[in-house]
Amino acid sequence: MIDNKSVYIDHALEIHKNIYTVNWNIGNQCNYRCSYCSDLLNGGSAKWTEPEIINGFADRIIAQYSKNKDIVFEFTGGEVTLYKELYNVLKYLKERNCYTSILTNGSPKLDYWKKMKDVLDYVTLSFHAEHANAELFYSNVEYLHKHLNVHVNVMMHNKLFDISRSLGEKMLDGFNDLSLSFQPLLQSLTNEKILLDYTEEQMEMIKELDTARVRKMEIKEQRYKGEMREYFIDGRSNDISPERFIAERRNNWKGWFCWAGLEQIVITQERQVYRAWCLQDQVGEVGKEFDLPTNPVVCTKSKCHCNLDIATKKQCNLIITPDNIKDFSEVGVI
Amino acid sequence: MSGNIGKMEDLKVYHKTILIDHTSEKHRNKFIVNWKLDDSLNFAPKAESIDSAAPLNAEDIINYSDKIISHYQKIYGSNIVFVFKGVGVMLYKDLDIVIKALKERNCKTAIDSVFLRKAYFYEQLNKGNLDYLSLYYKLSNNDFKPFLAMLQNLRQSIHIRLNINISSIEFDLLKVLMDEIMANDDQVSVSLSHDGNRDKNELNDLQLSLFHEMKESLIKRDQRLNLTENWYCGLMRCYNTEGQIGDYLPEEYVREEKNHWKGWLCWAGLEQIFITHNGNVFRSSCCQDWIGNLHDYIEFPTLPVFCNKESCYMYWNITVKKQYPVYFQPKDIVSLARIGLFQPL
Repeated sequence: MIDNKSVYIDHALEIHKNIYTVNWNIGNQCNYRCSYCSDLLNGGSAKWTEPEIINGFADRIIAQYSKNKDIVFEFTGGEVTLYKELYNVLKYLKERNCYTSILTNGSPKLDYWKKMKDVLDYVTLSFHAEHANAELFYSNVEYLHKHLNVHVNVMMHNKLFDISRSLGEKMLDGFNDLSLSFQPLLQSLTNEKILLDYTEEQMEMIKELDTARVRKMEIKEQRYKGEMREYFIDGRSNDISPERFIAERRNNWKGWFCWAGLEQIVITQERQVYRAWCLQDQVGEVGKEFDLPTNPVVCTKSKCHCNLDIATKKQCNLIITPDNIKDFSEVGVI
Repeated sequence: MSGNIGKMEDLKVYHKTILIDHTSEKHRNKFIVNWKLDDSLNFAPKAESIDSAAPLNAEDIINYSDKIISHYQKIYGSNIVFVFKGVGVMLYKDLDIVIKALKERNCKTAIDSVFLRKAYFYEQLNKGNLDYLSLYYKLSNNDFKPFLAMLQNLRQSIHIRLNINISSIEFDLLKVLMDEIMANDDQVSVSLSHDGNRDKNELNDLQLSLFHEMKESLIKRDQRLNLTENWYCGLMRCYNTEGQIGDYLPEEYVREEKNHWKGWLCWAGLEQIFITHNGNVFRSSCCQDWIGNLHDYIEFPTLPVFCNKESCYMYWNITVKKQYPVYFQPKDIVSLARIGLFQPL
């Protein structure tokens, strides 16, 4: 079916096209031990990154990009709310006109969020059914939604599917404008290959919840980036979330140009800087001299599994041959 | 080969260039393994640094070559050329064993090194299985006859290229050598370069003008004798948005300073790989993209890469296909599709 071939993916919202993201994994202490997670992300071996290091690197990014881009620093872990310096780090970034974001399991109580709301712009709360208290999680979402841009990931655990589903349904009932996604889980968060063993019904239900979300929620997007617009060879386009690309198993862009590195960088616990969480292309190390990328990259991965990476501009790679030069010239793309 | 040697003035109006591809179909279908057997910094005659680290033994080289051959033979068949580079090649005692083994595996072999061994060494190569010999030759005396006689003998079975880098001091010697070479049609290709800064002995204006004349005649001679075509790589055809500009040698791209392809797609890794003396494998000798180590695992590339280097200096990296990336907008999609430009890689 050549007609429905997708050839170009860009941000659905104009505002997202001007965002530069630094997504930094600052340590791996966590209060959860989810079965599909790994030591790398919850083992506690990587100490939290010192604030001076974060601030120093942030200064460099701000100097390079702040003229033309809105810069978002997003911190992940581990569970970053366990990091005692988090407030100070976020405060420093806010004072330097950056946007701030964290990815959390939503486990802290309300008092914590009352303080943090002043230094945060975005919070992504992920519901992990094996450990989370669904009621506390819901009430935190209610509070934060009033004060910040909130996105909620309901991780659709195959064995605890009903818990995740009923929380998802409750959110669909209780909110009209919540950015929400229903995420199928990988067998391991560090193994980018295989989804958990879902039944067909479960996969269908995930799609139904997502369809209900699209119908219900008036403001689709409260993330600093997320919803993408996919363009097809026949001229049609379609708005789609990163989660849906994964659920529909259409997350393969090997050979395409990917703007990871130009729209975002990611930093590992070891302070290595990559274009994206697929770790295809290391560009340097925090604390050392290196050049930030100036070109897109040719994707060499057979799957793109991280939402952040999926929510990056991509374009099918066109090959010039002596025979088609005139054709390209006529269209005006070379 | 259908192309014409490009005119220098055309290369000077190089703007809007979008594609550099092999002129010869023969070169397009070759895969080159550039293998540096020592860690010397360059291949010029003055190179002094011969690696102190022990080179791989012949058995290892052959075993590792098998790994490379088994991957690329599926694509390139018998058109894989192993090019052993570096000063140390000439001192590598098991070279003949390696070359013979590679020949048995249906590959071509080449040496790209300095002229520093006695005639006997080259006679051995002649008896053996070597296909290409590229020598960096230092002009030091005007009795070239024994050297040229040796080359004449070698070229019976080996394609030969002579690389000569000169300063103003050696210019008169060069003229003598060139007279000898041009006087007969022995099938030795000659490539000239001059080092403007070496010992501050730059060529004066007259020398420079004569030098360029010599180069032009050598290029024409190579064409007439089919020497470039018969080498394992050579002319690269340059296209702009209007179509073909001309065919140029790598050294011409360097000389005219048209060797800047940062941000372009480069087929290094698909048309060639580069192996260092300690077994690290890169797409090319600019070392932009490490793809593995012989002792461990190599992820052979299947896709071109965005060049992130300011300049491309090594001739063997220039003789790799390159393309300006096509960026389009959603509004272009239907037009591109209508004329069938969305093809799988």
